[in-house]
Amino acid sequence: MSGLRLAVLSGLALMAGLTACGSRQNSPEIRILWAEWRPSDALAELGKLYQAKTGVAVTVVKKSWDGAFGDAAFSEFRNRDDNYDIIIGDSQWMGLGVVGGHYLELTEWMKANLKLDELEPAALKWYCEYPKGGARYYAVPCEADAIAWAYRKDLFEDPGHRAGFTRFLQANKISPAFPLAPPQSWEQLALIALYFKQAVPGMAGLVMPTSRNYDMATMSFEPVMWSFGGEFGDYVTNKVAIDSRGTVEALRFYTGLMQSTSPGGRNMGYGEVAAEFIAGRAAMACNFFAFFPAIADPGNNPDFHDKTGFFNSPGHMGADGTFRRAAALGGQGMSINAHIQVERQERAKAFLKWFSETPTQQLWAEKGGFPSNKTVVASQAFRNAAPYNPLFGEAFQLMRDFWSVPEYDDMMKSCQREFCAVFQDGADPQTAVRQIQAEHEAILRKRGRIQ
Amino acid sequence: MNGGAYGSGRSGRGVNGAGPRFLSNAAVRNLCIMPAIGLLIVFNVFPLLASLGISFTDYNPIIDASPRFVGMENYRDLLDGPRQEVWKAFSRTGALVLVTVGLQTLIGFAVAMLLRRSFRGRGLFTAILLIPMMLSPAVMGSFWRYLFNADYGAINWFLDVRWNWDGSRALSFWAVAIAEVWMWTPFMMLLSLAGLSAIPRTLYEAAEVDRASRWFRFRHITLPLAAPMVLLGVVFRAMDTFRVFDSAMVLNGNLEGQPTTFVSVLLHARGFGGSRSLGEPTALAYLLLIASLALASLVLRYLDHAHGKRGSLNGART
Repeated sequence: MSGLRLAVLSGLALMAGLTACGSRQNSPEIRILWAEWRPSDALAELGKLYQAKTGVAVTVVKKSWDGAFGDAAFSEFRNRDDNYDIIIGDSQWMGLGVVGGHYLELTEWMKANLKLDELEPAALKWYCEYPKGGARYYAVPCEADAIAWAYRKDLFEDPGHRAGFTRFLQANKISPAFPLAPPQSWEQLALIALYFKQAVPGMAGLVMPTSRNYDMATMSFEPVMWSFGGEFGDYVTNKVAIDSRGTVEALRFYTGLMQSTSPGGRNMGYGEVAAEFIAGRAAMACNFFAFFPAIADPGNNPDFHDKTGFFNSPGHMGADGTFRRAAALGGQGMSINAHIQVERQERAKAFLKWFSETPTQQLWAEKGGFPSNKTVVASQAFRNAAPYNPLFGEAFQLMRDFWSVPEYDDMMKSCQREFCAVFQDGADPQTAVRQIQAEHEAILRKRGRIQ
Repeated sequence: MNGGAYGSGRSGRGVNGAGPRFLSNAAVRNLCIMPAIGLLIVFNVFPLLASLGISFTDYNPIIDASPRFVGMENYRDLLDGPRQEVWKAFSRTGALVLVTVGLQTLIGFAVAMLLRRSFRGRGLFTAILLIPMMLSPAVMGSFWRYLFNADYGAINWFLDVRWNWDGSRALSFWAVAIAEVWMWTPFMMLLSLAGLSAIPRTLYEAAEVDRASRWFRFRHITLPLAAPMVLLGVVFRAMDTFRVFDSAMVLNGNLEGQPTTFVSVLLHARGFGGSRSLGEPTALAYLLLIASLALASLVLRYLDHAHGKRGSLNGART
C-alpha cells in the first residue's frame, strides 16, 4: 500500500471516528447539576424512566455538598456556560440566578403547562418565585425540605421516665404540668431536654445543627426566632428588621438550650447531629427531613430505627397572645440554564413538565424524594410510606426561608458569626442582633437594594 | 581543539566562534528564554495586573456584566472597617506564629539533643518521628478533628474532661496550635539535628580537657554553633505558619471573627461564596502580598547576614 493511500485511509478513519463522537454528542440528553445525596440518586432513577419513555437521556451530575456543588453552579454562572441544562439550586440562590440572568423565566410557561394550584403555596413561593411577592417564577419545586425533630420514642414512652419527668416538673415548680410527649411549645422542649440531660448519664437532651459552617446554626435558630416574633426583614421591600425584641429573646432562649446538649453540641453539623442521634447519645435531634430516611433506615440505624418518632418544630405564645410556629426551609427547585440553546431549553421544559405531573411526583415520593404536589403529600400512600411523612404536609404550612437576594451569602455569614458568638462564646444577644442589623443594611445599601 | 568536532560543516561555526552557524548564541538564548517569559506574562503577570485592577472595583461576575470602579473603597473598608477584621486576622496569625514556632523550636531542639546520642534503633526512631511532617495538612486536620471531638475524642477521654475544643473561643485557637506543633516539630528537630551534627567533636573534647561544665558546653558551644541552622528553620516555619490555612480550615471552618480566622482563612472566607464581589478579597490578597514581600525581604536580609557571618567564620578558620 502506498504512503498516499495509507494517509487517505487514515484520514477517513479519523473522520469516521469524529463523526461517531459527534453523533453521540448530538443524541438528546438533559444534564442536571445537583448535590450528591439520596434525592439525586432518586432523580437519576426517575431519569431512566424518562429516557425509556422519551428517548432523551437524563444525566444527573452529582457534586458533593462540601463546596463542590456550589462551586460548580457558580462557575457555570460566572462563565455563562452551557454545561448543564437544569440546575437544582438552593432556594437562597434564586436572587443570584435571576438577577445575574442565569435562570430562565418560566412564569408564562408554568401557568400554561403546570397546574399551579396543585403545588403547595409555600413551595411555589420559596422555591420558584423571585422577587418574593412578584408572581414571577424561575423554577419548579424539586426536593422540598424543612427543619423538624426526631425523638427517642422508647425513652418518651418509658413509664419510669414518665414518672421521673412528672417529679422533675414538680421539683422545678412547673405549672401547668404536661406529659412526656412531643412538645407543643419551645419551653416544653427545653424542659424535656433538660430532664433527659439530668436523668440519663451521658445522654444529651437535644442536639441541633449549631456549626459555624455555612448556614447550619442559622437554620436551627430560625424556627425559634420566628416563633418568638423575630424576623430577618421584609423580603418584598428589603427592609431589614432583625433588631427586635423577639430576636433577642429567641437568642437568649436558644442559648439556654445549650445546657441540655452534648459537650460538642455547640458546634455540630447536620451529619454529626444525625450520627449523635443514631449512636443513642441524644433524646431529641433537630435536622432537615432529608436526613430522616437515614435515621429510619434499619441498615443505617439498627438500634433505634423503630424506636424513633418525629415531630415538627414547636411554637411559642408571644406577649401579644399570638401563638407562632415556623419551620426553616431547606430543599431546592429546578431551574433551566438561560445560557443553553432554545432547543435544549424546550427539552428541559418537557422534563420539568413530566417531573411535575402527579404520577411522576408519586414515583418521586416512592423513591424517597419529598414532593411539593398537594395530592401526593395528602395521599395515604405517601403518609404511610415513612414515619415522618405524615408531618410533611404540616411542615409546608410552617415553612419560611432566609433572604434570597444575591447578597444572601454575606448576610448569612453575618448571622452565622454573630449567632455563634452568642451561644458559643457568651456574647450579648442585643449587641449581636444590632450588629447583624447594621451589617445587613450596609450590604443591601451597597448594592442599591435599599436607600 | 577547534570547532570541527562539534559544529563544523553545514551547522556552521564551532564553539570557539569560528565560521558560520545556523543559530547564533543570542538566538538560542532567546529561543530558550522567550517561551518561559511568555508563559510567565500570560499566567503570572497578566493575572496579577488584572487582579490589581479588580481590587479597585466592586465586581461580582455572577451578577454584573462589567466591573464598577470604586477607587480605594475596598482597601479602606478592609483597613478601616468597623470590625477591624483584617487587623485582628493579622494579629491572630502573628500570635499563632509566635506560639507554634516557639514551641516547635523548643521541642524540636530538645528532641534533637536526645537523638544526637548514639543508641540502638536511632535511625528508625528518627524516621518514625518524621511521619507527621510527611502527612498532608488537610489529612492531619481531619485526624485532629476526631481527636478533639468533645463527645468521643481521645484527648478529652485521656484528660478526663469534656472540653469543647472546636466550639469554644478559648480552645479553638489552641486546637490549631497543638495540631501545627505536632505536625511541624519534626521539621525543627531535623534542622536542629543537622546543626548539632555539624559541630566538630574536637570542640567538646577541648572543653572537657578544660573541665567545662555541661551547661557551659551547651551555652558556649552547642547553642551558638547550632543556632544558624535552627534560625533558618525558624524563618521557614514562621513564613509557612504565616500562610496557615489547611489545618485551621479543616478544624474550625472559614467563618470570620473566630480565634482561628487567620489571614489566609479570612481571604478564603471573603473570596469564596456565591454572592461575593471579587473586589474586596482581591484587595485583601494584595495586602497579604505586601505583608509577604515585607517578610520575605526580612528573611533575605537575614540569610545574607548569616551567609556573611559564615563566610567570615570560614575565613577566620582558614
